[in-house]
Amino acid sequence: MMDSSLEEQFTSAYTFLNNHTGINLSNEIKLKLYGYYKVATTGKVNTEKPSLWEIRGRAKWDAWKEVENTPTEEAMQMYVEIVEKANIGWNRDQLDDTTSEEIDIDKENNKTNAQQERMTYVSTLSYEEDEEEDNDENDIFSYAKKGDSVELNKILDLGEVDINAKDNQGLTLLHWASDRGHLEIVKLLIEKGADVNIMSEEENETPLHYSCISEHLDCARYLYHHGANPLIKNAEDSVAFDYCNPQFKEEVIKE
Amino acid sequence: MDEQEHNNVLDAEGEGSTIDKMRAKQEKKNMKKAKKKAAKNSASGSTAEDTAAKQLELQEKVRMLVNQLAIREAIQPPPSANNSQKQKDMSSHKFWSTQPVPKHGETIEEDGPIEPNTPYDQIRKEPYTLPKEFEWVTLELNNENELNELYTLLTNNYVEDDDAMFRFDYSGDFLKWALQPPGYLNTWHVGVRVSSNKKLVAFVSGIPADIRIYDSHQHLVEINFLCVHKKLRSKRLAPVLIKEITRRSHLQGIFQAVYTAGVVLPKPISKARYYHRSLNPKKLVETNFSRLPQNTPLSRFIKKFKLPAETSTPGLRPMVEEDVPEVKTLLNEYMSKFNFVPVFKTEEEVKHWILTKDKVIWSYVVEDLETKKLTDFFSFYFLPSSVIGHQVHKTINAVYLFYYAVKESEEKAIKGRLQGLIKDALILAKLKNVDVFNCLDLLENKLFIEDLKFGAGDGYLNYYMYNWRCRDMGSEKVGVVML
Repeated sequence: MMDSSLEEQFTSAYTFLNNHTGINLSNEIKLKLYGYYKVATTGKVNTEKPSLWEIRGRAKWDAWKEVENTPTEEAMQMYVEIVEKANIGWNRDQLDDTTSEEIDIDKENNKTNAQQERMTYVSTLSYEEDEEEDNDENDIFSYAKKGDSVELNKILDLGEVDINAKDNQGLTLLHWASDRGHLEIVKLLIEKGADVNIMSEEENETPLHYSCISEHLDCARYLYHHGANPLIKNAEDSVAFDYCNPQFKEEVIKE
Repeated sequence: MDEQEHNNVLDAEGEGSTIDKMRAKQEKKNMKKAKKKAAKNSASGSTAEDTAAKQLELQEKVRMLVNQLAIREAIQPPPSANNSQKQKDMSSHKFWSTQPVPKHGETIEEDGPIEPNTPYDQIRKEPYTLPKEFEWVTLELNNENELNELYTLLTNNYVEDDDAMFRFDYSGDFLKWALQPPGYLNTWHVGVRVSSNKKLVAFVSGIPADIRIYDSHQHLVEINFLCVHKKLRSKRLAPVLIKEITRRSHLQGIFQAVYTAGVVLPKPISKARYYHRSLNPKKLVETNFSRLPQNTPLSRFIKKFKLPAETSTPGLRPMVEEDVPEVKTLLNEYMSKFNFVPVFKTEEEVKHWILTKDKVIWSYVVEDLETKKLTDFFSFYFLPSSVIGHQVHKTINAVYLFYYAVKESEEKAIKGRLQGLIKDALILAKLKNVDVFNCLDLLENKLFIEDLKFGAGDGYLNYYMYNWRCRDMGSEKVGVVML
């Protein structure tokens, strides 16, 4: 069916997109399509340039302006080709591919689109946006949490920080590094004289407790072989090895 | 669709490598995504450059979002006032508007069918027409090869969005359990093959079921596992599959159906939310199934979900076949307090759906130590998910709470009893090396969800009926659990 007119193809492509608003095209393509659509249907830009702050109006306007000198036919041609090349189920040879009873597979946004045809999907734990914590925090504890030994070392070298200081949760740097499994930082802290058997507030747990509960074998091994006392009991009257399985304990103790 | 690519998919020889490539590509993407998410998981500080970069990124995001909106608006018909929104709604549900389902916003005064039953002589006897390169098949799931074909289709295509980090990993035994209950019909295991090479590219299933919705008892069909090969989405196979399974139901004298979907279609009877109880918190964090708040120590997170080593309900034991009659009675009695429930008519049905089948479903009963009568039972089914693109973890072992019954009548007593039972279920699941225990907020699950430390999921499940109009209901009135 190569005999359909350009205008028919253009209308068909436009209608297709219009009926499938969920198709996930890149913004670049969308803007291009917008520009050619406006040129094909309206011609040259006939509106005022939106202010810099109207981001969306501005983006549309810019896209239109960029191609405004394209002849109508060519604009239609470009539009048709972009839609066809986008590979989204439309092509100019199938204008009569009637889809009058199609299911709304491609509607809504991309995620729902994907969920449309299957009856269900794997749910995972969700968290509210406001659970996102303060990202501005970048004190020495944050480096222990995320494993940035370089930044952490820089601060320690300034010599202004007590290496055994506790944060508002009653934990030391060594607790955090042991909890998150950052072996490099555990080593660094112990080399710099951190107290390997320091206990957290309230729960009275040592870094060894933390690495055993979190199952970080390499950290637990390092702590154990650098003076961690495995007999220290926490507030629940449990020693670190009470929290791990026998194999783990064996691996930790092994020379 | 690119014709070349299309042919590759349809060509059986090229198929393996294409799928592998597709998978590899997807896995790469997911790795990237996982890394991003992981970065979020662990990062808690940021340098000045970080902050500036983040700000830029945010600005860019806003800009892109705005552009997207603008373009969406631009490619829609001129906004001729209120009319356009309506039009959009109608067209976005073009297929469903041709189907006997209630419309969004419709007020429902009386329950009943939307269209009358079609007399047998007016039911279309030949299958609906497929695009010319495809053909209908009936899958024979007792044939290992065909079962494997179905397994492959679902595994590769049931969860197909690029963002998916997990996909259901149905086992052959699970599929047989789900699709071959007593009275099942092969003709309702509807497949579509490519005529030239016989490759299975689409599927939809129906199974017979008895349900009660409000006061109406119905023998109907449960539709599930609608799946189209991801490379063939543009072929519009899904509507034909739905029409075909409907036709095949009509031929059996069945004119109502139940189905569920993650998305909102016209028009849900109820909407349930998924909840997840971590049993292996560290693995769930590592796979990004759940998220460790950056200021929470992992050890505290792990301790929070720690469970006793043994169950505590006296008289709790695995269900055995002899328990079937009593479980049937318990279950049907318990279901009487909800509005949309399964009705278990025969012991065969209970035996099929509830009795333990290893690695598919596990069931436990509570036996009164004096009277030897059963007082309660619960069951959960096993449906793992593959973790896409993870170096260490390949699978998350998940179980889903299935049917249960509590023989208490007073609300407070039910709550205490149910919490004890489900806690034992968690312990039993943990002993089976399960990583996460899932449920929906239906039945009386809200009585234990919070106290037993289930967390809200990002998934929802909408319940639908086909050709039946009735009032909607809260999820706590729903008893039907679909797989």
